[in-house]
Amino acid sequence: MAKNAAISLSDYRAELPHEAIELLGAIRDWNNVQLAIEEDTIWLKGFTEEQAIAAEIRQLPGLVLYTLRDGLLFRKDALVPAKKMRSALLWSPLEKALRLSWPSFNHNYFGIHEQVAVQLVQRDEEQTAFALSAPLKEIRSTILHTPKFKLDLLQWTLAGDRALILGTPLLAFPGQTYWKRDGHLLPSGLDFEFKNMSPLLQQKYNPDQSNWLLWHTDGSYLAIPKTMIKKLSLSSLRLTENIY
Amino acid sequence: MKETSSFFKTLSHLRKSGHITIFTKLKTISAQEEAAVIAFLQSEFELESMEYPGPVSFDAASALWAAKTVFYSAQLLLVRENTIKDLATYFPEVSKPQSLAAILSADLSLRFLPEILLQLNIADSKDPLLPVLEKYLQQFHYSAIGSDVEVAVTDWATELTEPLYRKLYLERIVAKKDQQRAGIPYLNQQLHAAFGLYKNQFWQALKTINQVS
Repeated sequence: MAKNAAISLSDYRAELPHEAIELLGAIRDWNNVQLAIEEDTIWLKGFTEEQAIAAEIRQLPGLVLYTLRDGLLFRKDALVPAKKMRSALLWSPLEKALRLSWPSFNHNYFGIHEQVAVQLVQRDEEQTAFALSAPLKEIRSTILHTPKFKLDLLQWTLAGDRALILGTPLLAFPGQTYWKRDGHLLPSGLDFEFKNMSPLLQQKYNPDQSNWLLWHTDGSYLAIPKTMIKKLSLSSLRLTENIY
Repeated sequence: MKETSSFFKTLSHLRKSGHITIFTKLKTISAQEEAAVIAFLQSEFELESMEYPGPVSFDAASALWAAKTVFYSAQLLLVRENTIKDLATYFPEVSKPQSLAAILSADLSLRFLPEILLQLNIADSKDPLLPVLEKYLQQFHYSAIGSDVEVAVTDWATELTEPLYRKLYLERIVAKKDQQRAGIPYLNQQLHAAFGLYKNQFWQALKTINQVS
């Protein structure tokens, strides 16, 4: 029994020809395994019981798996040692020994004219509503009866016959709400299909940050100059109505 | 060229920049000056009523009375020669305002009265003028929000029945952060109802008063 228990806790060593170093990428994420390089062989140690019999290890060409007892290397189930373990090897973790490098730039890539359509997709993350758009006619009387101190925190502008109200806390009006992301106003519940497009779109369509980009659900946008946005007050509402 | 009247100049300067000019002698006001001031106050009223939720008409008599009161009381800050005997002619008794138009028209100038009252009180707290002005402010208590003048209203629900007046009253309390008025149970309840969930964002220091039923 004692003998079997000792075997189950065996200290595994694996020997690999140096050419196989590229193939170790498959087990690079095994961070308990350490690696040392001799002249033309690679030594691996620190396997767990499961890793020692895993397919990733066994498929490496030229691999010889030993167990280490008293400084001697035994092949699997062998009674006599195959060789002595070299001492004075420099062991380092796999992820340090196998450095990653980026592929060099592909000058022959001809796909740069391909385009990506901007699409908005449903997202489950909860966002605070920052803007609200509703037909002015519908919300006019509600605004008239909202206390001034609530309106003072808000700004507004008119887009066609719809009022766009910005700020928090928003008033509880029926209408389409929007949330804010890098100067975009996106319909609540929707986000760009590719999140990293958000700053790129700002650079392209709003380089000096002077607009709000108001996105519609179909992926089109309306640029609203920030200078057009005024403080929300009853007089502002009345004077605007007089003009249009 | 005719010189602009001191009454008009004082009033327009007060409305535009919040400063007041005090002359060396208490001047009487001619009918012509009155007309000019009424016209000026009416245009100011029209600008302000843009912010009112509903239409309110302008009450010329009330506005003129308030303008005169502020003008005279400001002059009396310095000019006190032979004035006590004429106090009643400068400051006639007024009855409680009946209409919202009267309250809001008077407020155009009367809102500056609490400040003058404070200065008069610093100069001489036994001034016979003080109770007269205090009485005005008790009657036109909308203009007294934010000052220490005590209000003699007992039934606030009937006092503020008109929704427009109630809205403006609450807005003024919030703007001036008048803890004294906000401590009145009825008004406190109304304020909390208006703030809703966002009370701390609008007025963090507002205390909650539980209405005794």
